Parts: sequence; structure tokens; C-alpha cells
Amino acid sequence: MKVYSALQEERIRDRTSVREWAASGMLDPAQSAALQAELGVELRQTHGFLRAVLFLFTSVIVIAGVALIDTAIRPHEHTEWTAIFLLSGFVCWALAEFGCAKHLYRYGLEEALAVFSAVFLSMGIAEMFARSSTSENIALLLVGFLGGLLLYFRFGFVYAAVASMALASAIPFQLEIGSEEQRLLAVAFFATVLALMLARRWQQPNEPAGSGRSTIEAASWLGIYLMLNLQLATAIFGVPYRLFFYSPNQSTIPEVHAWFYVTTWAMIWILPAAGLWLGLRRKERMLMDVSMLMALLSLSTNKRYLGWTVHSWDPILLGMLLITVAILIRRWLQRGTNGERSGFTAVRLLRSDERSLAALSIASAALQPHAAASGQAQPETGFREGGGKSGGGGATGDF
Amino acid sequence: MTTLERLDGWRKSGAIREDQYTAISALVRKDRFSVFLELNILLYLGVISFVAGAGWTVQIYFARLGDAAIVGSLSLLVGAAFYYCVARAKPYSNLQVDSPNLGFDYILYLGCLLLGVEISYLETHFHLLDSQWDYYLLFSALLFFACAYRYDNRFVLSLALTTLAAWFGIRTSRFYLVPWTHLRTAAIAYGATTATAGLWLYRARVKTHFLETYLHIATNVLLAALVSGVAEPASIWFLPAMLAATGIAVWGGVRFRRFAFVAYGVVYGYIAISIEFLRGNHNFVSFLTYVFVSGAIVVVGLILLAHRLGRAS
Repeated sequence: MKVYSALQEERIRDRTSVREWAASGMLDPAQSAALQAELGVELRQTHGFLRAVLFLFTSVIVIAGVALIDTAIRPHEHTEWTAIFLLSGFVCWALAEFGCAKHLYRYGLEEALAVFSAVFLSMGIAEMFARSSTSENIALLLVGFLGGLLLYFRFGFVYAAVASMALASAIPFQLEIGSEEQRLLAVAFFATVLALMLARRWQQPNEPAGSGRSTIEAASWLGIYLMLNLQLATAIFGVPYRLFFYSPNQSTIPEVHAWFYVTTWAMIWILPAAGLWLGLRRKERMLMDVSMLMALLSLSTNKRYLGWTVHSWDPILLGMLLITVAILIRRWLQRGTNGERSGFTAVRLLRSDERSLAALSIASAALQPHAAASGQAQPETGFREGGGKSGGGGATGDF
Repeated sequence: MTTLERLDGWRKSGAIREDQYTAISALVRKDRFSVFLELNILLYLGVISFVAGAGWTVQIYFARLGDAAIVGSLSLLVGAAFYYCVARAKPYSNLQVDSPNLGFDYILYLGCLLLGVEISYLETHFHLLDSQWDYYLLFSALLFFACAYRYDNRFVLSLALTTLAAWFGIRTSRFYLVPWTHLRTAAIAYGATTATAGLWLYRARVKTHFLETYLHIATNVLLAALVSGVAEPASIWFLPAMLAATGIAVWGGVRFRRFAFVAYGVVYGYIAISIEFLRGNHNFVSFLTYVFVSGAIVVVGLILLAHRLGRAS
């Protein structure tokens, strides 16, 4: 059923690893070239940035093409819209298949076509149920979920599997049931996916190349967490989250029973701890990172959960905690034999880590705690929020 | 076939040496597992959270705490951070210098960010430089540049570049009445200056690994400013300048295999050409036709480019 064979996926995985080992100085350039030649497959790949631009422009073409058809036909009836969307979906699917037949692999072009085929098919089927907004939303989410799964199983797009999980988890929120039931249904869905992934891991300990199993597993953990953290949904996420994960007439803070509230509070601490323990035990980076994210979110929302006052110095304490934890872990690892403990080390082993850090440092230009300055900042103004406005260091501060 | 089995095959065939096999297979089996990136991200988030909290606290409690307490505590923290860096730093070199330890870079970054908060507080409350207060920005930027180069810190370099951008923006605002005009002029001047400075330092072999930081920031600022100039037809020179800049970005990106710059050139260039092409057009069908055809041309061009770059396997 898959477009790409297991052998092709394995060779691509190993060739990527060979490049990384060579960049990290573990292989000579000549060795790297020879091994990469040995791992050759009849597939055409491109660089990540070109892939992104190709995805973007293919999406633009597809949207413009369908809009042109709409303006030419001027559909009025639901059946006409349905026909246009379904036809567009099938054409995009056929073109994506054609791209794969021409040996494209993660090229951006065939990806955009495949993704839009799922989008159009979902919209087409949703149009069939357009008599009520609830049934239309459910149809859209359900077909989107199935479409995402199809993309994953056919083309191997792991992000499509993750997106399809998100769509499926939104379905309970369209049903006219209590908010606790909605959340529990969504949790049950993510837990089922997680159980399936764990069962697969039990059967096949080595993750098949291109399966994205660890990513899907980590996404399931995160999904369960997001459904259970009641304060996160209202405190941090904005309208897009509420659009699908809340009923239209529901208040932003759902009314729940005390037992449910307390249980979810316990879970927002148990989940990161359990995920981190499993991640460290299996040395599963994705699960470790997701667990760290969950722990950070729990730390950030804990006071709201308990109804305590949020103070301005809370971020200072959080910052000190993070810095202290990082330094203590580094010191603890360094004091181990050869700077390692149970195989864990704080030393950089691969060049990709340095590249990621360099990217973070460039991105930090936009992510500094004080927003970029406007050229109109006036020092005479009163003390305002922001701790100093400037592109850097808050030096244009308008306290 | 698993990666380990393949590695074993390469070892037996002599494609890789025994020591290479030992080192690589340890990584594949996860006998060695680095948490370097995770620890760095924790430290970065810690610094950002700390400074955001410090700014927030100063903002809320400045009246209750008083100037002496705020300035004193911020000075103490900044002084401690800089003292630590001066005491622990390795000797300067034009080449890349590894940090003495994991936390070093972030302590310097924390010190620089807190210094920004303090300077900002001082000027807002004491107006020491009054109307020339933007010199604080220039002073901060120069100090951050000095720290970035002395201690080889890319986070502080990004901070210096954005602080300099703010100074450019404020400085040039004094000569123009129209806000967009001064911002655009400032952005173009900033982009050109930053790119030139980065390239000059690269040619002088001073911290050559900093070049990409300069170029990423300069390219985005410059191209965005030129696009805004094309959108608001301020001068007939914006479009040719834009085309030349995108051409250089794409050429440089391909020449040096830095494909992010190809992406910048294509996306900004497409936006600028589309603005010019569709100016005055109010017909939706012709707009869609343009988007469809031009998008197809870009896709074909990119496919040909990717094909030429020879990433086929």
C-alpha cells in the first residue's frame, strides 16, 4: 500500500545518518561519499528550504486553480460545491501519485498535492452534511482524520498522522455532552493510539524506517496532556483552540466536578513524570522533549489550577529553577565515568546539535523577552508593561 | 535491515574502521546519548523567563521598591554576570572558541539582557541623556557586539544586531515626517550596513561563523523594506533594487549552498513582482489566473534549480 518500499526508507534513513556522522567528523569525506553511493535509491529529494518553498507555491497554485473553477462555474447548490471539492480532491490525489511515480520523495510538490487532496475531499464530504453546522463539523473532522491516516499509510507523512489525531480528538467537542465527557472521549482516543504504538513496539522493538512511531507516540502523550490540563486551554490557547475544542455556546472555563478537576490536576504532574521516566529509560528523545514541554506547561499553569495568586516574580523563580536544573544535571553527568552516566552525556556528539543551537540563536533575535522597539518610543511616558522595549536588551525601555 | 546490521556489514567489508564502528554503533545503540541540546534549551528558556519576570517585577513594584533597590539589585546581577564571564573566559581568538562550560554563554546573555532592562529604567526615570536618549541603544549595541566577539556568543550577537536595528529606526525617525518612509529608509540602511559589516569581518577572518547570523537578519530586513517600497510606490528604484537584491540572495544561496537565502529571494521576490504586476487590477479572475500561472512558473523554476543542484540519488 505504501508508495515507498521499506528498503527505500531504510536507505534514506541510513544515508541521512551517514551525512550526519561525516559532518560530525566520525567518517572521512571519501568514506562518506562511498557509503552514500552504496545507499543510493531511485528517489529525488531536495533541501529542506526548497521543499518548504515548493510546498508553499504548489499550495498557492492548487488554491488558485480551485478558486478559478469556482468563479467559472459559480456553484450555488451544495451538490455543486460537493462535486467541485471531490473532483479537486481526486485530481490532486492523482497528481500526487504521479509525482511519486516520478520518484519524488519529500519534495514539497507531491506533499502539497496530497495534503490538499485530503483537505478537498474532507470539504466535499462535509458539504453533503451542510444542513446543520454540527453534522458538517463532525463530517469535516472525521473525513479529515481518515484522510490524514490515508496520507500517512500511503505516503508516509508523519505530520499527517499527527494532524489526523488532532482532528479526531476534536470530534467529541462537537457532541452535545458534558465537557468532562468530551475531554474523556478525546483522552480515550489518544490513549488508544498510545496503546497501539506500545503494542507495535512490543512486537517490533526496532522502529521501522520512516514510520515515525516515536513521533506519533510522543504526540499521543502530548494529546492526553492537552486534553487534561483544564487551565492550559483557557489560559494560554486562544481562539483557534476554542474553535474546535469547545462547543459554540460553552463558556471559556468549563464547569466540571471537583473530582474531575482534582484528577486532572494530578494527571498534569503524573503524565510528564511518567513520560520523562519512560523517555529516559528507553533513551527516546522525542518522548523526553515532549515530557519536558509538558512539565514546563504544568509549572506554568499550576498556580492557576490551585487558585493561587500569580506574581510577577513567578517567571524569575521558574527561570532560576530551569537554570539550576540544567546546571545540576550537567555537573552530575560530568562527574560520571568519562563524563557519562548510564550512557547519558552533556557533551555534544553530533554536528546537528550545534546547527540547531545556531538556528535558535538567530531566531532569538525575534524571541527576546522585550518586544522589538517601535521607532516612536518616548522616554517621557509613564511606566508601562514590557520591562523596556527594544530590539535588544530592553534598552529603549519605556517604563 | 537495521542501521546496526548495515554498520556491521561496512566494518566487515572494510568500508569503515574498527574505531569508527565502535564510536558510531555506540550512538546507534544509544549506549551514548547526548542531552546537550536539551540542557541548552533549558538554559535559554530559563534566561528568557528570568528576564521577563525581572522586567515585569520592576514594572509593577517600582514605586514600592524605590530606585535604589531596583538599580542596586539589577546592577548587582549584571555585575555578577559580567564578573563571572571575565573571570572564566578563555583567551580571545578570531577563530571559534568553545565556551568554558555549558552555562557560560547563558550567564553572559542574562547579563546583557538585564543590562538592557537597567539602562532602560535609568533613562526613563532620570532622563540622563534627555532627547539624545537613543544613544543608550547605540551604546548597548556596541557593548553587546564587544561581548559577542570577545566571548564568542551568537545569542548576544543577535541581541546586538536587534538593538542596533532599534537605534537605526529611532535615529532616522528624526529626519522624516512619514513613519513608513523613515522606517523603510532605516531598514534599508541597517540591512546594507549589517550585511557589509558581516561580510567585511568574514573577509578579515574574524569569527567567520558569525556571518550567517548577520546575513539572515540583514537579508530579511532589507528584502522586507524593499517589498514595502514596491508596495507603496515611493520611488521607481525600489523594484530594480528589489530584483537585484533577490537575485543576489538566490545566487548566493545556490553558490554557497545556503538554501534559506534561496527561499528568502524567491518568496520576497515573488511578493514584490506580484504587487507590481497586480497594481490597479480589480478583476478577481485575472488575479487568480496570475497567481496560478506565476505560481506554476516559480514551481517549474524551483524544480529545474533543484534538479541542477543534483540532489537526485
